[in-house]
Amino acid sequence: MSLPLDRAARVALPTTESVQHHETAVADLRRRRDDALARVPDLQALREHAAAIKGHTLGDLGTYLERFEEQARAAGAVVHWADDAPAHNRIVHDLLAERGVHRVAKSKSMLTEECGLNPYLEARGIEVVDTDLGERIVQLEGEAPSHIVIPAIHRRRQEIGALFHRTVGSPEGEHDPVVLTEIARQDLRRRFLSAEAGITGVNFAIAETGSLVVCTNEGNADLGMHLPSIHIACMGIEKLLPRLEDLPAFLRLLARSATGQAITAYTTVVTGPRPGGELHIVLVDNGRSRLLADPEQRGALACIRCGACLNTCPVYRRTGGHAYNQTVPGPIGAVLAPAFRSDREASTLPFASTLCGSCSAVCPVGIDLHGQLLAWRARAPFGGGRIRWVARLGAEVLARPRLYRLVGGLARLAWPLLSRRWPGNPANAWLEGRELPPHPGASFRSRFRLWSQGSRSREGSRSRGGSGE
Amino acid sequence: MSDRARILDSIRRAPAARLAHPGSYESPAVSPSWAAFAAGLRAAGGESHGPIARAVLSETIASVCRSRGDGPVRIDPALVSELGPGEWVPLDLEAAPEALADIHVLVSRGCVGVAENGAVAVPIVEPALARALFLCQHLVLVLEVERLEADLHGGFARFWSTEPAGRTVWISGPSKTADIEQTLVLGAHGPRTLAVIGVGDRDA
Ligand code: SF4
Repeated sequence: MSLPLDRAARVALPTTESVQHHETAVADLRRRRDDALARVPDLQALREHAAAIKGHTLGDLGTYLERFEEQARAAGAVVHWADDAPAHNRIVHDLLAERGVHRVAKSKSMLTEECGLNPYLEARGIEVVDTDLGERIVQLEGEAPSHIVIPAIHRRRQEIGALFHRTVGSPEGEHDPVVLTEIARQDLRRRFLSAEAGITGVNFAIAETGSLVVCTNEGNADLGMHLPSIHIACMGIEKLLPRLEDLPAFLRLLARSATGQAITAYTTVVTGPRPGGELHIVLVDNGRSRLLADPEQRGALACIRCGACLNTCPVYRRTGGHAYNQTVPGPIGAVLAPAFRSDREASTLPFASTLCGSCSAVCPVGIDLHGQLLAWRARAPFGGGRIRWVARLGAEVLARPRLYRLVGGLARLAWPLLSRRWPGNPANAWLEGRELPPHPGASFRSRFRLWSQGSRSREGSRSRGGSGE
Repeated sequence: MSDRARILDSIRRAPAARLAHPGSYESPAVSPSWAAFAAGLRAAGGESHGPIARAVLSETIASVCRSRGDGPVRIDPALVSELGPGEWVPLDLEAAPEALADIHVLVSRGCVGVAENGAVAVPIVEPALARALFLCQHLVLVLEVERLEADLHGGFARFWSTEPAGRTVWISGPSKTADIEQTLVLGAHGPRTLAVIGVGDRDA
């Protein structure tokens, strides 16, 4: 049975080489994460502490949001609230249009991707330059990020070299990452200096002080925040932490889980605008309060977007992020999709999982990702659909030993037929990347019966032999 | 109903799952050492110097700056008075961003260092300093060794016990990216190198 994700994966990573490249890159991130966290002596206590802070904050989110708003305003920021993506885009556009802004430097923000901010602003004559190198690559390519931490992880250096040659005039055939990064640096520096406003995402927000926390390795968010006089920070309402004192636990986990670094190169805490500048904070719901009201699924709001669950997921590794057809891919994306989207495809994403549980095991804030995927499956809206039908049939067969034996016998007869690809074979999708093992010849029950008869007779001859000694 | 009222209303209508705040985090007791800080900084792509005696701070800064090649060197004005005689040019706090982009080496002061990750806290209240920290080609930070903490919990507690929440950046190593095929490249947008000079005599 093929899911929409299967089909999309053929487009996202179309060749064996692209799959291998993606898998190697992503597995490398997972290995770095393991190495980094192995050096944290208090890892388990730290994870439990972080999960407890998130659980507490989500339980009293309204109070913390009001406190944050009050403190941020007291520090001189302007706080805006957006119920959904159109409201968010409208607020940002109005702020820019009222100030006559035509050029914006934007740093990485999954929320603005989720809201489709770039096309919205561009359609209204505002030039938006994504300044994170990975985001810049996908922007120039005209595609979406495929990973929440490394947006262009699916692209190889040759492809990026060719892209830069086409778009920023790098020498033909140049694909050395050092040279390409330098070319991007020079190009973006110019754009930073001429930007009239900076838009950033937010990693954490502190209710006690009204502060924003932004983490990057490149320093691009800082240039966007400190150079232009207008800074617009867009954040989901779930980003709050009660106190500054709560932040270190998350910073110690975030970069280690993401890339294996002990901390990102820059962790910037901003409280209020800089002297002579403006700071606007847009608080966005866009489905989050609905998720909060769902006791089985609200845990996903604790996510700190480290990407560790993507990097470990056997499905994400093979399909690539674009196959998920939404901003956040991987296990956390498959959990968020049915909550944020109402289309049928979104409700199939929780089935794109082996339920191996590796995602839950690596999640630094202890989200029960595979448990939540399972819970979504139980709610899948395709009542008469094939997945539910097959599951019901399976349950019926497993509940009846005789029927089970009969079906087993039939399956053994059909085995040679099923193990070959032919039009209409339901196993075709499975057989594409694998071979069925050779037929064992007999059922497990009959082999077990033979084995236990044999062992009984061996026992008997041993005990007879023993009595003769 | 405003978006604000609607959002707060739907949050308040969600079934409450009130969980207690876990309180302060108890870190394992480890005393901070310059050696651990230097290792953390090295892992982040930076380099450490010292700890050195205060008497040789000026010449150490001069030597680190020289090692970065030719180009304008600017010193955080708050640091100039401590450096004694020399041709120190203070950072012009009124300078336009374009002028700041020409700075080859910027020397500033770190407030608190964290051994586990090589991070140094730098308050960025002055807009020109905030910009120069990211526009310069090479950054040098001076850190009192006595202001080192073992982990980020200690670092935060130390820093914010004296500073207002304000605007601060914790810097760990130079600007970097691995966005092209996971190849680490230093100097993505900000400084290409970071050196931290430890001043004082604490070590373990
Ligand atoms: S769900 Fe957990 S592992 Fe996945 S991105 Fe979020 S915090 Fe990281």
